[in-house]
Amino acid sequence: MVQTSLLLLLALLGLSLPVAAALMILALGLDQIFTPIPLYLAIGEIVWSASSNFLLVSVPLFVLLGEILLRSGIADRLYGSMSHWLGWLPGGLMHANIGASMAFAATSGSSVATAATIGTVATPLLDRYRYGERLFLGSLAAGGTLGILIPPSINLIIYGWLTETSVPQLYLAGFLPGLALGLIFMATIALACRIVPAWRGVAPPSDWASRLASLPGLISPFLIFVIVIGSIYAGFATPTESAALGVVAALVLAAFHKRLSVPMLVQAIDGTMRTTGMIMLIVVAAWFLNFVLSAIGLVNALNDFITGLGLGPGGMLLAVIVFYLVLGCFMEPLPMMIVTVPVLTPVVVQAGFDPVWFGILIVLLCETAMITPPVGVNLFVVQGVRRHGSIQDVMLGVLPFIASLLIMIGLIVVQPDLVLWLPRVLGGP
Amino acid sequence: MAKLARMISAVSLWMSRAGGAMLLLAAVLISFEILTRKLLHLPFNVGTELSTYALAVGATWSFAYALLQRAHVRIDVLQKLLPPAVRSALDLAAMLSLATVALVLAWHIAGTLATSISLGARENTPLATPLALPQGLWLVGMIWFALVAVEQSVRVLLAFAAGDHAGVARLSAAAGVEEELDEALDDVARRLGRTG
Repeated sequence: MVQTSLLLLLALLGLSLPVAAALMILALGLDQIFTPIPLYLAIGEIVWSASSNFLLVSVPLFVLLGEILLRSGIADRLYGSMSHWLGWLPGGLMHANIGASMAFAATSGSSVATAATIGTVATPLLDRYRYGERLFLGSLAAGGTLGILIPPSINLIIYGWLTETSVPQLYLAGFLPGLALGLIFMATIALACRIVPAWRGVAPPSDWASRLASLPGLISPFLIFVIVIGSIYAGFATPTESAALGVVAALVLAAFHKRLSVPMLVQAIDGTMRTTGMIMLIVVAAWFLNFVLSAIGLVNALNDFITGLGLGPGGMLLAVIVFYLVLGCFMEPLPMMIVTVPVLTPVVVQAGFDPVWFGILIVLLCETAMITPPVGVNLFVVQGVRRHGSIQDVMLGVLPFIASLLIMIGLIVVQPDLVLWLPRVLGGP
Repeated sequence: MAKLARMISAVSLWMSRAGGAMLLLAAVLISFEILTRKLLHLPFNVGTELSTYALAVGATWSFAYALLQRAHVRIDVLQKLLPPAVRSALDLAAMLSLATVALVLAWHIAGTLATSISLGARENTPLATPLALPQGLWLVGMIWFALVAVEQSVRVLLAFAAGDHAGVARLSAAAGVEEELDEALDDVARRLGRTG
């Protein structure tokens, strides 16, 4: 059963059917093959329960929040401030790319929004300071991936929904790995520039007066962060409500920066709905597939199958990581997560791993998937804002950062407390 | 044919925008309720329920727009390596599979709606919303998505039958559609007497 399902899934996806259609067809097919009960009669009810789920309301709201922030003008000031504070490091503005991505990630739940926003501000500066172009582009694509690790995070919300894990706990768990990964990215840049001095470029001019003067640029993102994340831990908003507050706060900030207008809002809505339509069709199809999979007892079968392999917990975890790394080269992270997490998480948890910790591992693997060629959404985003040259530059430039991500994954495997310490100490609702 | 295409992209675009507006309003409503709850201690709570309808309806109302933008992701790594004829066949299969799934979903959603109507099902909330209301709007989006997917399949099928592999590829990629959409937008803007 496990083999049939997996082969069917890979065949349907490999034939380049749209992911949502592949999932739905797989579900209907497995229903035909493995059950005497016509499960498809429940499609309407099941699709409605997924479509009208309150936690999932936060997904389009976070996409909308990102689309508004992208057009609100807060990124320019944020980036300006980061370049004054971090530009003196070897690798100059590349550190500002990472720093600004980290700060923006704390307001945005999407990596695409983060890479697009910081990329739009940063790419015009590329030529002026003569950095190694590829590494510079790589730092934008990689920095953008922090969007889903540092809370808020659309991927953590979907993981929480799929596995019934507390989203506030997952958010807390994402903090330290988010900071650590940002620092590892910066160390990677410094190291690369030490090895190849030609990539170093010229440090942008700065002094303490302009550094201090640039600080107000950090206020807007900090406010959004406090509203979105603070409201959850202060106990007066659920993750979805906090997303709604974030949207309203972003509208107010955009108005404050004189960027709010009807055409701007329409653009933000169009971008949001394009992504929402894509995600929700997959969510709906995956939810029905999960229903079929649990009805035919696939999770148990998979459990037996993996136990039968005699890998032990460590070997199994390694297999899971390799599986995601390979899959991530070809699949978008969110569809990849929605398809695999409901089936794999129970097996991994059964083997003794913490579901919150596994959520962070999955997000790190999603981040890797965003930048591993040939299919990596952030590679496309960065190439998209750059608008010239070949995408190969981005693919090559991102390689050192893929190594950084692998190091980070190794760190949380060896030291799970990096993830679990904060949720344990702070508890959370 | 061109007129039909323009009409379809314009309707899809504005349905998607209506769905987006619902979600935006839901965000404003939820925020308003949190503030009144916190500051005035007035326990309003209709935003939670209404926002879930906004999600369900907004999602199906955006499916057709996402389809025209070719946003429904496919994994085309293998497909790109194949000869043009096979590539076209897979492009056609992709569109047909989406149309089939849309029709299956629309059919079963219609069944759910019929059940809700016949039972007079109401949500167990202060608003006691008749479920038929949001589910009806939800179904409208799904039916429109199915219609557009069928129309797009017919276009790909015609190009495929004519042996026009370049045409199939163009229809299956996003670019041509965006131009159409721009045209549609200009058209609508002109009629509304606005610019942009």
